[in-house]
Amino acid sequence: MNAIFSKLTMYMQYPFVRYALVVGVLIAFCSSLFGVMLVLRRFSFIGDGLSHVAFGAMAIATVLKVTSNMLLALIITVVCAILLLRTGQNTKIKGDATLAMLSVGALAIGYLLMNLFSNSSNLSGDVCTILFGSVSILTLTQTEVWLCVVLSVVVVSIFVLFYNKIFAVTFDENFAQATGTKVELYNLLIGIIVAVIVVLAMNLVGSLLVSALVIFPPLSAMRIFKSFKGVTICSAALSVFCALIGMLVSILGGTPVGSTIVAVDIAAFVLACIIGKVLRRWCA
Amino acid sequence: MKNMAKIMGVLLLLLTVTGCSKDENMANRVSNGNNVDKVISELIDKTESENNSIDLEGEASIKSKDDSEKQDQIPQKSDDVTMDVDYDLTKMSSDMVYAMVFQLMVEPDAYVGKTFRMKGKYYPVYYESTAKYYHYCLVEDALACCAQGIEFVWGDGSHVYPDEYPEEKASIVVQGILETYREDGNDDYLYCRLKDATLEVINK
Repeated sequence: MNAIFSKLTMYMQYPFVRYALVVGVLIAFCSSLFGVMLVLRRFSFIGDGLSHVAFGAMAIATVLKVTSNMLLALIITVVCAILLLRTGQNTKIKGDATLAMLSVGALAIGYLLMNLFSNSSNLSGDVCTILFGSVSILTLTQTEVWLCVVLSVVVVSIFVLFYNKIFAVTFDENFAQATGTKVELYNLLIGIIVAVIVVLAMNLVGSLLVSALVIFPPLSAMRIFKSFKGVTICSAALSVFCALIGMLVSILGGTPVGSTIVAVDIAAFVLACIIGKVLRRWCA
Repeated sequence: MKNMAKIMGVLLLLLTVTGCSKDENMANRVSNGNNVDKVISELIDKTESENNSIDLEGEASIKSKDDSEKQDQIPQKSDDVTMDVDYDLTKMSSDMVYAMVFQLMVEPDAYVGKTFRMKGKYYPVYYESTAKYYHYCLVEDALACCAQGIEFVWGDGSHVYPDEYPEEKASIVVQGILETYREDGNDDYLYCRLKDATLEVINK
């Protein structure tokens, strides 16, 4: 135990480790807040679709040799999220089909572009890093860290400021519209926020594992709590805890960051299922 | 719910067994991106190894003698405690070493003059513009899909390549002082390397 603690103390002396932990916790916190709403609205797969779009955007940024890949990915993913939500209702190709089409299309085009135009000596490494996160979180530049912090603050502020409206839109869209809430505007806002979260979370777990960060904590929280507030608070706490444990295990054990965090999330889900079952029997 | 819990248990077990594996084959599989290239390179390797095996049979006894002499010249890993090391990367996990070397490349000025000790694979590179061999200690991350290398100058640089150096991809431990330098001529890049480095080959 002492050896682990001394190793951890040694690692904490490095600024990039401290940055990674701060950014990781912020990303996990943001993703879990909006994850609750996505799961409740049956939009769990939208994070996955947008993350593939972000992969395509990252590929374009790499090919164009843009200085800040994250910024370009952010813009393209937000535009796609808006298009997805705007055209989802009145088109011949309906919601889930549009999402699936966009998802696989972006993934394929992204990989194709990287294969054709990237002059990197380690193409498979570049692709692997974007898809699975790898060590992205440990190699953030100071600008990227600040961008993550600012965006996280914006996301949390929006959630806190519009909590009541988000709650109303999540549970009963028609009722919210009838009471004068601008549902379309809030849906658009939610779409943009989800796109921002997806791009941020790509740094932590990679584009293929983003959904896990959005879905697992709310689902785990729902096993134990039943109210929206309870689920949101538990989901946020659980997500931060799992991300922190996952990152520490990864740093100490040398395992890939993204998949370790997701493994901890899965373990938390199993534990939450057991706790939920015990609580139900106890209360019954 | 009972079934769900069982399924999740099995999935978790599978993930633990496969996801966190440090199996070399697994790492190689992840690092190979293009399957067509993989098949072609496997075929080339197979053909080369068949040709080499015929040529090498006669030379085998001579080569093994040369190798043993060469290994005698390179210090093997000892249990000696390293002295005055500012950053001992041998105690870090592969991801952390990768991240640390990445930081060195991004902000070299913050680390110039510090002594580093690191473990990795030996890679020599011939650069045509300067007509020189450069020697690297290469570190891969946990997924083995990304690698960062740091150049080192063994001792005063008088060691002769390839006679005195280890085999390519040999596991090595290098300790040296970080310095930055520029090549003469039109090359404007700033390079980092470990000077006055000691070199140890790790027996696996």
